[in-house]
Amino acid sequence: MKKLLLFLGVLALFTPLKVFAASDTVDDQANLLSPEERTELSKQADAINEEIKGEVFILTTNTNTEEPREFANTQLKARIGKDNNGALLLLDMNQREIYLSTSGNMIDYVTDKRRDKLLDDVEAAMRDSNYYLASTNYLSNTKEFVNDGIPGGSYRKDEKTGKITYYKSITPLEFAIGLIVALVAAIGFFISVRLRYQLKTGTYRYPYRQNAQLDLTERQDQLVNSFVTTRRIPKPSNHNGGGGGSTTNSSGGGTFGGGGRSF
Amino acid sequence: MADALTHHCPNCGGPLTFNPSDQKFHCDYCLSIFTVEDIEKFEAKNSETPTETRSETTDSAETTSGDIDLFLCPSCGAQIVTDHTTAATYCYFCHNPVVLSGRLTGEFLPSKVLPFKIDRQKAVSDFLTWTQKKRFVPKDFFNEQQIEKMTGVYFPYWIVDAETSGNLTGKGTSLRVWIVGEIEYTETKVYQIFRKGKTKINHLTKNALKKNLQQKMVEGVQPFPIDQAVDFHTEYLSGFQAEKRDIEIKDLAEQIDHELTEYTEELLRDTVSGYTTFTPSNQSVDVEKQDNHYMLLPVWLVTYQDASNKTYYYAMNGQTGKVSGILPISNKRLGFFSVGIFAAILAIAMIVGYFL
Repeated sequence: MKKLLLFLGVLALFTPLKVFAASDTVDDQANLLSPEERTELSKQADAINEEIKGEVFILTTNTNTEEPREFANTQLKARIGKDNNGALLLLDMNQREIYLSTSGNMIDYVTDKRRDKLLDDVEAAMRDSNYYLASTNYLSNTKEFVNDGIPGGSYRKDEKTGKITYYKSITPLEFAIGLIVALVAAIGFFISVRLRYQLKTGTYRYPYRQNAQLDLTERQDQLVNSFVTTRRIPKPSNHNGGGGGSTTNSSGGGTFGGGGRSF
Repeated sequence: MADALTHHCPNCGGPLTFNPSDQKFHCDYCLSIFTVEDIEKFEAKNSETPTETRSETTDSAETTSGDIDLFLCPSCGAQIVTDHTTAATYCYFCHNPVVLSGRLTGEFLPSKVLPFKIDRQKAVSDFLTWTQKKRFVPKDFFNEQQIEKMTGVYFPYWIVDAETSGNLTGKGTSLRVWIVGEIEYTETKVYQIFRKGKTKINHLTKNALKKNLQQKMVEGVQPFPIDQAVDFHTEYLSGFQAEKRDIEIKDLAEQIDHELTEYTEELLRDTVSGYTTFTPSNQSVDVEKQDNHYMLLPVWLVTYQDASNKTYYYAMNGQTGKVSGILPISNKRLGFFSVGIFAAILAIAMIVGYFL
């Protein structure tokens, strides 16, 4: 027992494998942020990185001429690799575009609905030319989404093929139900075997269905009343999976989510 | 007065015992084998020069004090101490089988007896096979050396065959639901239901020995194949123990009546089918005919001692080999198995939950 505890203790020491912010967490090519602001944002990003076991980035540019989505996806893939967990916010000053690219589990965290909320906040700040606020809005929104978890019944919908893939997970409720069912079955089995072994249950009962015959001499089933009731079936309320889904697109072999708009 | 007798071999005069494996009577001395008819014929012929030694128990021979009775062994003359209910036993001194035939005459004459079908050897091996099938007893709990005693006993039972008539009235409803567009229609049909019938209830078996009332294990070896019972002859008891009844049918009348009523009601209720709900409003049952038979049914009793000298008792049906008795439980084994069930069901639930 002691050994086991020790082992767990050692394990606990190593588990918070810190995902240290890469130096390019905030890549401010357009020079919109002060060094202090970058440090502060990196710190906030670190907190999220630990949660999602991936990395989030902010990239500003004033030289890009590529399509923002293409550029953001490529940049994100270059930083984390194909289909790994992560998100990147592109602030393209040249084309006056903002674009959020998500990959891995971030696609599921940032559903279309959440993405629009995030972009609303970022866009408002960008219109005021408050770049630091735009960046913190992005991070705080992301953090909030991650903390809220993936909404139940969430799905991914491929932009081109329209193929829907449901996000599979075990919700705490499902886990609790499973746990209770298993517990009841195991305890029930334990107790029933004990009772049977101690002859508390399962002793002989006269099998009257086998040993007795019934001859019916009279049998009547008389219809005395019949009526029909009607009911309007209530329309199923349109809770289409609650959180809705995330639209995904593929580029360069990887799958990305997200979206953008101009400011 | 009660008589003690031993059935003797017509050839050599040695004691005869009933052998369950061929249902005949064997002499252990000259290895002769007889049927019931052979012995009856022989004993009738020799009734004047009895080979069937009877020790006519006079008042002086049978002394009753409290719960025990004394008999004289017909072979060696030693005193045999018995319970009030003992009907067949062995003499402690000369080990001859003794049937206390006086205990089984007159109103105590059993109408039938179900002879043993499983002999001692088979009983031991059947018992051991049974124990091996029990997975949650401590390991090595059962082995042949620890069987202390194996006794074949004929226990007294009341077998009731009855005819009852009953009727049942009630209300049944059946529902039909269908959907047209956005409207759901529910049709309810109410039926007045009446059933009347006669029931034959066969072989309701009731214990007739007070000693066995507390013994769930003896209860647990039922059912007995009553159909195979044969006319009673004291010969069947020789080589076994037997008990006579001490519970009369009138003591059981109320209970039997209740059971007959219950079974008839249940059977009538079974004929009401195809309804969504059924509410009985009135039912009545009359017991029209009731035949009570007093029978002796075979049970092997096993006394078993485990390593720590704790004694366990088991009963085995002498015809079917069904065993019953309180088993020790290995909490470790049962616990492990339960945890296994827990883990398996949890895993299945998680898989189902994941894909749902």
